[in-house]
Amino acid sequence: MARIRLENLKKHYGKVKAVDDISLDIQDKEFVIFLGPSGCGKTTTLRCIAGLEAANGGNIFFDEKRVNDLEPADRNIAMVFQFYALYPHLNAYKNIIFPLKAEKMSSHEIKKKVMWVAELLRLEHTLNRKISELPDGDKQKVALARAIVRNPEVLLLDEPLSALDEKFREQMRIEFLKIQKALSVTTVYVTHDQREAMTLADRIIVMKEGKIIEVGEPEKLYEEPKNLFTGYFIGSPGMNFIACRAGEEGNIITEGNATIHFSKAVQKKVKDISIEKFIFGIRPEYLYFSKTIMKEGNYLKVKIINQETIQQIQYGNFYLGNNLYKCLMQDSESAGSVERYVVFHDEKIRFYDPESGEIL
Amino acid sequence: MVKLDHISKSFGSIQALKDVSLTINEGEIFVLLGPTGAGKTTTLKITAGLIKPDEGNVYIKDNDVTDVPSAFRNISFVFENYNLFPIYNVYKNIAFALKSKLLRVDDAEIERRIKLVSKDLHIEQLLDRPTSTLSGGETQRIALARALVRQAGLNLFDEPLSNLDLKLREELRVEFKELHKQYQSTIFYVTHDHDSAVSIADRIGILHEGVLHQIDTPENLIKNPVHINVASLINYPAINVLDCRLVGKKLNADGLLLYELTDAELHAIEKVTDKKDFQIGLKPRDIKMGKGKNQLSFSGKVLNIEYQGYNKVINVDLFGSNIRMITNEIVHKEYGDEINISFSKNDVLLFGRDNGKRIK
Repeated sequence: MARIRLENLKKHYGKVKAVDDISLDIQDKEFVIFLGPSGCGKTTTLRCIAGLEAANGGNIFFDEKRVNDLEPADRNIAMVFQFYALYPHLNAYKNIIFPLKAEKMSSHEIKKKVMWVAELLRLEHTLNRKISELPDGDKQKVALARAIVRNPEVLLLDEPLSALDEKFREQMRIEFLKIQKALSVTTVYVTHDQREAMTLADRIIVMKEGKIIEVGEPEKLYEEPKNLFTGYFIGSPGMNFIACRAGEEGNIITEGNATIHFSKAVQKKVKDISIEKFIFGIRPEYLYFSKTIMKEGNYLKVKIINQETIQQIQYGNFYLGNNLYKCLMQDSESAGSVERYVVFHDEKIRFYDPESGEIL
Repeated sequence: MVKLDHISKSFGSIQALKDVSLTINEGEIFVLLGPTGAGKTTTLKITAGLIKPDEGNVYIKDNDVTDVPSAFRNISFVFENYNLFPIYNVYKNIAFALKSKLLRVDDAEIERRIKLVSKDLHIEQLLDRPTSTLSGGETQRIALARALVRQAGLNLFDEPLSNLDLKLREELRVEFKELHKQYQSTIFYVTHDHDSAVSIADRIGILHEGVLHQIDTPENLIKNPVHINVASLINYPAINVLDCRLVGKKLNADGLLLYELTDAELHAIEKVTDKKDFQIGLKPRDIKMGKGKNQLSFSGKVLNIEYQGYNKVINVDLFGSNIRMITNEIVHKEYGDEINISFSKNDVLLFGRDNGKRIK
């Protein structure tokens, strides 16, 4: 059992506020992922939870117990880093049993534990081999095996996949999920890779400049980001954010003076917006071509300047003013420089306040 | 523009490149894609003249430059770690490339070029800053600027984006393509990052353990891989690979009967090989949910669903093998649920088990 509670956690390095007053509840057995660009404070937060960094302010609770003053060894946690920190000249078996040595277990018990974890991670064939002889994917599995062999209450993972080739990464993602299910361990994971976060997390914590920007389930953050930064950072490509102002009848005028036409329902919403300049947000995946437009529907006219393939999906790039935006292209369509109508559905439209970045 | 002709290179007992030949056309972006240790950087260094090949010749603009020192090849080179001078400011770092006695560029011309390139790369405001104070993305731009001001006919890039956050990488890819349009130089780019390769390349060469398997456009490589390594590296998510055996007229994969071959298909295979052991390659995007018409249908269990925004990757346990499929439909399934999947016979790629070569 381990519920983790961060209460007004702060960590400063000189003038830099690496973690700037964050509070968060992590449920028992939950898999949460801290996501953000480098320097956002995600790793520092993890290291505070681990006890590798002392917080400058605030509290960390495991269940009801305040752990700020406990040594890492006394927190019943296990940690896996980007670089595996294994003993290269020892075999996998000896690396895995390392944390058990301090625990006064019989050698029979130790062996049972290792076999259990080796089977779980399909590592049986590597146990007698030296770490230096193993492929990268297996090395990281051994590191993971070593971390979980003690049945920790909390598993902390710091960019565990970023040093691996894509092929291993896909395998390891599946392993992580399996382990998390099998062990029911509270897991805190740090990454800058939104794909990993979307795939693995029960909840994602989006961080930027030491602060938590938004917390939510992957699907929720993707479909309805409450903050501009979330929409930008989650999804590949990120969301289109088009600066605009209200035009006639509740339509909007964009940069470069293009008009985006809205349906009646959306026009009504636009009329209720109280600020003069705001931001229209929509995912590129929800903008698609149409030969004909409906007078009552949502549409804009664009000129596709080039196309781009991202994760085997084709996108077209178009300008509004000086900024590039993306829309979806079906397989059979070619770019050309002709003008096209792009249409979209009411429920995919979001409006944001450019000052605060928050959804309207 | 560039021609590598039967290049081989060994380091001690390790053969880094095995008879590699390729031609890069004037003005194109050519990407060499391969996993860590494939020999990509070695190929690039041989092109640059930083390493001499054991065998084979290097041609630049039809001149044999195999024995020409690097400085005389009129090329620019951006490494993974950018090699900027931390004590100089940005301007001096960029200018450095032009101060070489070989180039004889006068100060007025240097200033003109830097002005131009810094506008294109949005780094005008950084010119006075020491490079040690820059962020990763800024540093990357400076390294790029330094390569571009030389106006060399040939630009060599070694994983220039790999140290950056994923999000930044995505943005710079677009900029990179736009810049290439303006400067129209020839680009030779090596990377292990599938997404970068597919999104920027005119043509891609697939390098694996020193062997160059295939060169073609990204689309053609996906459609028509000649080797299992090509299929593995070019598809995202990774292609499904199943071992299978020809029993009579039937293809058996892990005890799962795939389908019966027609006589014509059987003859076609027998013409190429007398072996019975194969590998099947099946692209995640060629697998559909449900029972399709004229399709091979199977029933499996859902292992997990990777939510990736527009697309979802479903991992299906099919008789003990993990099969990945990709869909943009809404999926109402959970771990352990039964799922029907289907695919067309035509989408099954067949490779030799022993040599990995494409058979069908």
